[in-house]
Amino acid sequence: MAYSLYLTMFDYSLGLEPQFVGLANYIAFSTDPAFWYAANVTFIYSFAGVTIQLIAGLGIALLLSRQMKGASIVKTIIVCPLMMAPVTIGYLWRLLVMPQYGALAYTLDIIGFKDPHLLVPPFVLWVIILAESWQWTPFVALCLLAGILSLPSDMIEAAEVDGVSRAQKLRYIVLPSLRNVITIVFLIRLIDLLKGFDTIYTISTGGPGLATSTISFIAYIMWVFLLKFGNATTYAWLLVIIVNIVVIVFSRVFFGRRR
Amino acid sequence: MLMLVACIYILPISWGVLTSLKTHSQIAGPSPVLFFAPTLQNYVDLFEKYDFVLWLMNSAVVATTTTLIDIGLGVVTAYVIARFNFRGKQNFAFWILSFRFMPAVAVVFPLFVLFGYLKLLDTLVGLIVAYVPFTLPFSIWLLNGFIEEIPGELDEAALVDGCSRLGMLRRIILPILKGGILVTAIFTFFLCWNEFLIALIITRQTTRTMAVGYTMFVTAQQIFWGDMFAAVTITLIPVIVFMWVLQKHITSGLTLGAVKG
Repeated sequence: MAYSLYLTMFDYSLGLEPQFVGLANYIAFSTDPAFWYAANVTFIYSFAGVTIQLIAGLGIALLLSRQMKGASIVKTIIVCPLMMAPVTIGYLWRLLVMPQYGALAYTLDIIGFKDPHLLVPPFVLWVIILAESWQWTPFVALCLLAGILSLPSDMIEAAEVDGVSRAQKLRYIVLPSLRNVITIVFLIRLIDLLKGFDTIYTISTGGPGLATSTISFIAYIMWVFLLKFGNATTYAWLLVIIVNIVVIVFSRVFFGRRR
Repeated sequence: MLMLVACIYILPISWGVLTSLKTHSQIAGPSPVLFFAPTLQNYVDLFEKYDFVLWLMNSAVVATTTTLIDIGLGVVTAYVIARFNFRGKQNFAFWILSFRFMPAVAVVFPLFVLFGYLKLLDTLVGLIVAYVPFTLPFSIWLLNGFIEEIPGELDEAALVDGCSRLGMLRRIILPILKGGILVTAIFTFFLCWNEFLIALIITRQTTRTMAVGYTMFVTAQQIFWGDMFAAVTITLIPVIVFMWVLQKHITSGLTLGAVKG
């Protein structure tokens, strides 16, 4: 359908002479341990990332929706990371986390976690997730804020008149109405995370060994360092297919006929 | 509570800026230094030791050109999509959107081969050619959202009055669309400015963009944090300026896609 249209538009990428072999590659990948390891990393990275961002984003959005003074200043501040290059933010966090002189590492040291080495597994991945979330949570927050602010106020007022508690209001009124926005934001971020590259490159270059390599990243490694072009492209395309499937599935499930 | 959030965001950035004012031994010493005598040596180094200006220029040129092309093509395409109903419109829309799903990794290798063949490697033109297909769909999507906000009756009224399609576009739609175009332009600009992977692969010394430039501070022996953050601070200035001036527009643009759906 639309997907095959899309595929043909990029036929130049499969126009390599190993195209024949390419099909065999698609089968071979399932036995490559590196792929499955990377798939694991990708999975953790993506889902942890999206979850953190949604929860934190929602929290921030709720805070902002109360329209306290200073809210607009805060809004301006937190939107900054979105405009910064992911590369920049990657290096920033790497600096903060460096064993001896990183500010974050030092703070942890003082608090009591002696001498944290945050650039090794299992912490590295979480540092990357942290950096990514730091950059993108504001985006989630702003989208959710827009959604919250567009909620019909009469419904909320009616509930308040009925004496509903804050937590109940959240659960039964706000969240369901936000369902559409949440889904879209979830999808957008999930896709971005699945493709993620810049942050990983700048913080750990795939991690000690392959510890923080996502599928996207090992495709890169395969290509640049191992020169296994066929494999690299295969993996990259697998990622594309996965992403598309994810999107289509989610769209159907949440949107029904539209899109 | 909100203060906490603000702090979480200000602290790392200010640390970065502070770092740009330190000497290397202060940065990479046994423990982080909070109070120190600032030095501007890093900034000087930027211009002397590195091709900083070149990187900036490259990024600026590529980003601006791509944005201009995107807006030019985007407005027309978005208008067509918004106003006309043609067969397969849903599919076409999805196809355009699907570019966003594309991991750069998948495209980078073929791009490299193709450009090598076309002698487009390490050229600004090549970069622009690479960036436009990537950013155009996104621009079209955004612009489409904005155009849909404009009632179709406006078009019809103008047509009835004897205006040509093109003239109407220019004289009526465009002025109304200005805010939307601005938002889209900013997004596209930053998308190109911050783009990393493709630039990494396609550029060499002459056309290196800012994003790749940051990696130049990382050598095998050590990372020149001070210089790097001097660069970061400098590039941070336009970001902050943009943010401050255009805050309202950006918020509406960002959320437009999400809320409208």
